Amino acid sequence: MMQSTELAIIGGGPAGLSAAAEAARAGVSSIVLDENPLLGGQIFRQPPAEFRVVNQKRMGKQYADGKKLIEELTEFKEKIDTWTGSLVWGYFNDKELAAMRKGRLELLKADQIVIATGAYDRPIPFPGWTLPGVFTAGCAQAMVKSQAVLTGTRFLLAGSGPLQLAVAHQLLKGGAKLVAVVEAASMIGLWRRLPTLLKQPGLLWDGFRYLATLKLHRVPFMQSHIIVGASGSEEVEEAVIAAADENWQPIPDTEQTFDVDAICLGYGLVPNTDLTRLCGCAHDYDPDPGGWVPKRDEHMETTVRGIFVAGDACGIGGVRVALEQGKLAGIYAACNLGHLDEATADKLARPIRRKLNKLQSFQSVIADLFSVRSGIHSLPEKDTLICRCEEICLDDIRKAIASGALHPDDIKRRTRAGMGYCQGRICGPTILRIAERQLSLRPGDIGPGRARSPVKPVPMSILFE
Amino acid sequence: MVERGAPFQIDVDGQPILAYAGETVAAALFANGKRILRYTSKRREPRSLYCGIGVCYDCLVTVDGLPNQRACMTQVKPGLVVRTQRVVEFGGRQ
Amino acid sequence: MNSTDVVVIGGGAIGASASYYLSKEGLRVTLLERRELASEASGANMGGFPSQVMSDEVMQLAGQSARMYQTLGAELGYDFEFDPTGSYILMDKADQWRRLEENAERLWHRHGVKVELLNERELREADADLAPDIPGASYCPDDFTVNPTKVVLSFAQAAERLGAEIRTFTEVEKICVENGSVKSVITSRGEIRTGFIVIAAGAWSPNVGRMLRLRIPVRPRRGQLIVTEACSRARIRYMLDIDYLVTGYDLEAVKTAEDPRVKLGVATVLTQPPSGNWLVGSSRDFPGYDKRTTIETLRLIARRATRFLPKLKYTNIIRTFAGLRPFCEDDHFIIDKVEEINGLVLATGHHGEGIALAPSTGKLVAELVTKSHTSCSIEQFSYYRFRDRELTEREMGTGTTS
Repeated sequence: MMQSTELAIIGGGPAGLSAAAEAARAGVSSIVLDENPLLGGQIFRQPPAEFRVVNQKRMGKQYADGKKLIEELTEFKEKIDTWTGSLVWGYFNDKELAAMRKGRLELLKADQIVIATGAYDRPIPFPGWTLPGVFTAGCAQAMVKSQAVLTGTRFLLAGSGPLQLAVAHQLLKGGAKLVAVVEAASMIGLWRRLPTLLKQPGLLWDGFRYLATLKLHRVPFMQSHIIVGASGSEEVEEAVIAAADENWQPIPDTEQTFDVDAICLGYGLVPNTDLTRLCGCAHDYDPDPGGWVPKRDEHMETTVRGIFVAGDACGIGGVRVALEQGKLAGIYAACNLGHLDEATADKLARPIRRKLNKLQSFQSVIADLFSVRSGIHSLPEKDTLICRCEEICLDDIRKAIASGALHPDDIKRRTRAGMGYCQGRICGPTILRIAERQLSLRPGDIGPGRARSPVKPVPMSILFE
Repeated sequence: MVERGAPFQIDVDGQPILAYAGETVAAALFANGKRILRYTSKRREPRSLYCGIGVCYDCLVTVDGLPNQRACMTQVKPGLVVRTQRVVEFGGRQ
Repeated sequence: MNSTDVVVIGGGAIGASASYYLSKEGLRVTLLERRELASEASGANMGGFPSQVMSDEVMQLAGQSARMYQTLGAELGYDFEFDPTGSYILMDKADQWRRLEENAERLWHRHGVKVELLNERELREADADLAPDIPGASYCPDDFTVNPTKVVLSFAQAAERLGAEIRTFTEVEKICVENGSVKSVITSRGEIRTGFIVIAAGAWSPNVGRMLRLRIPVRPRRGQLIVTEACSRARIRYMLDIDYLVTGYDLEAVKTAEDPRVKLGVATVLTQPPSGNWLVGSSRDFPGYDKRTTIETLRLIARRATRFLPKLKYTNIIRTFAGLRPFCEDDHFIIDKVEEINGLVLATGHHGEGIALAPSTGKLVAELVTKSHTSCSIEQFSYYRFRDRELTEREMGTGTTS
């Protein structure tokens, strides 16, 4: 019943795939598990196998890069086994994973594990955010990239940072009408950081290219503006934005309304740390990526021996960082498994580390410019839902804290926030911020919450196998 | 840019809807203008896709009798029966 | 330095209840809890009050608690989701009638608790979702369910309103005794001067006892639980496996059992709180302070539960968790004053009956502190029934707890 493998890699995005390739190169046999039907994760999302790509060039760079990396894995098909449609939902004992593979239970004992579970869009509650038609930038992107479906006809994009621009570009390419792209930060800061940004000319060029596309399609790009509301009877019909100060605090009497049927929210990403928490890895608060992330050393190994982490799951860094970190994790997992001696591993790691250093300074500028600022917390009103699953509003959360709750687990117990299907992924980051503010704590003083099996709901029938 | 796979019909709330092999239920519903997927139990509010990547569990629909399946992560098949959800159902199909 | 009349150590049902009843007597109380309220067994159980399966020794206190529960919500001003579900012991095999009948007789003749026996047809009429081959059940209309976390919170908040101080995320590091009397408690957030301490720390009471060189014979007994997604409201919302009566969960039966299900102490308990989620339990094993769930036990729990409620197989599991019940050496808890140290009361070891017995236990603690004697006999829960009460030097040195 229990299978074993040298290396289990959880997540088939850039970090997981590059870890698999590097490990395979060193002779390690691995199983890559991903919940989706195809490998690629988010950024390297591929269209379904049943679709036929007619014009490769128009599919974009990420599709091409992803395809290339996935094909690279077939080079090692003796060594790398890919389990798509496979959710890792449980961790029992030492490196024993419970997965649901196409609906069936699989128990996997791994000698080493790489957790490359990526990230998801940061939830930003505001009045009307639960209306049909309000979704994340990641959602719009996934639908356009892999399903070739537009999630609406008249879009407003609200958020901050380069990811939003990439989504805008993709939507426009897909034929969407964009009524505005609203950027919370001011771009002045960008000019001051030009020297650092010039170190990554490719990324900078992408940014300018996206802005140029917006201009070409006459899409207004509004800096220092933030979304403050969405309204509609059954689906979204209107988006309300307002001017914001440098702390993203909405300025009164500056509201503007747009007629839309789709609002895309792109306020950055949050690492998916459910599995690292479940496996008992220690976490640290890191303000740069913005949140609780698993502690890891320069080998990408966590505080649990034999469990590595790579990519956005250990801190938002983007695709290039994910690729390099994945390589490091693959190399050092191979080293732990005895396929590489330390000297060889260090030698292979050196150029990768150099690349990472270069990338990291660019990434921290981006993070600094576009990281979420405190004004975001004044968006939700008393009855705005914070926990979407259990329908718990801001007032409920505040009351629980006022009555003595000092920790997200305590708030969860008292309000049920976090007890629904999404296991606190959507409400978690917001609840932490609310508690910090109400209790006058610094970010990092409390949290993260406890993770429990199953990290995502599984059918009871799976326990019958 | 892409050509879709083979087309077939699925049943959404009793109506025949055109879907394509490889699509998710969410894509098929959205492509046919159906965005409201369920109503919540407490406030009876409409919900749809939110994160689109299988994390938020907002896009829950009943698929072939099994309630609370993510529309964004479920693939269409010929003859698939999809029901948008109004009430909490118990225990799915036997 | 702060000073208070009573320090209660442990923010579970017993500690919170004791804090309330002590505050009611006009005493200043400080409750210390190392994590959040109800963070351990009190927040990891099914919330049921199963008088049908309680032993004779606890029935008096149980009856008292049950009566208190009827009006506690109003008294505390807090809704802890009291649901008069009754309880149903479900038979597994047709040759188990005698056990049910004997139990029913025991409950009526010794304790005046009325129980109705239902045959297969009557049971199906009561709830058609149950498995069709359950030969019968015994139904106790007076049993009920509550939300255990909310019970703890309601006692704590009511105590606060009466002047108690609730200090969560505060650990006890040392207890100072001078001339045979309690003097102060040193916590991770400062020292508190007090004349009275109540140890109500559940499975962690031995740690606290160790600070006083006292052996408190309690150890953690894990119970695992599965929580399903919300389902439509069932007619029968509280059921128990007849194996509670058959194997009794005495340690001997478990030790010698061949059946893995009995070995891991798995017997079905099902409750459905107002949220609609099914809580699916239960199990018993001694893994030390390990609160993780295990795939073996989860499998056994799921399988056994669907024997009684087949539709559960087609629900989604939202989460699983485990609680560490404080198992007292002889399976009976401790409520007593410690003679060797002035101002020390023990109220711990309630195993699977902490929520059920919290109200009456809290009241007894208040009596022990204020009057030194109790309104009803608690001889059988005396600390002095254990011969070895003082820890040896070696035992002081060891100590695997977390």
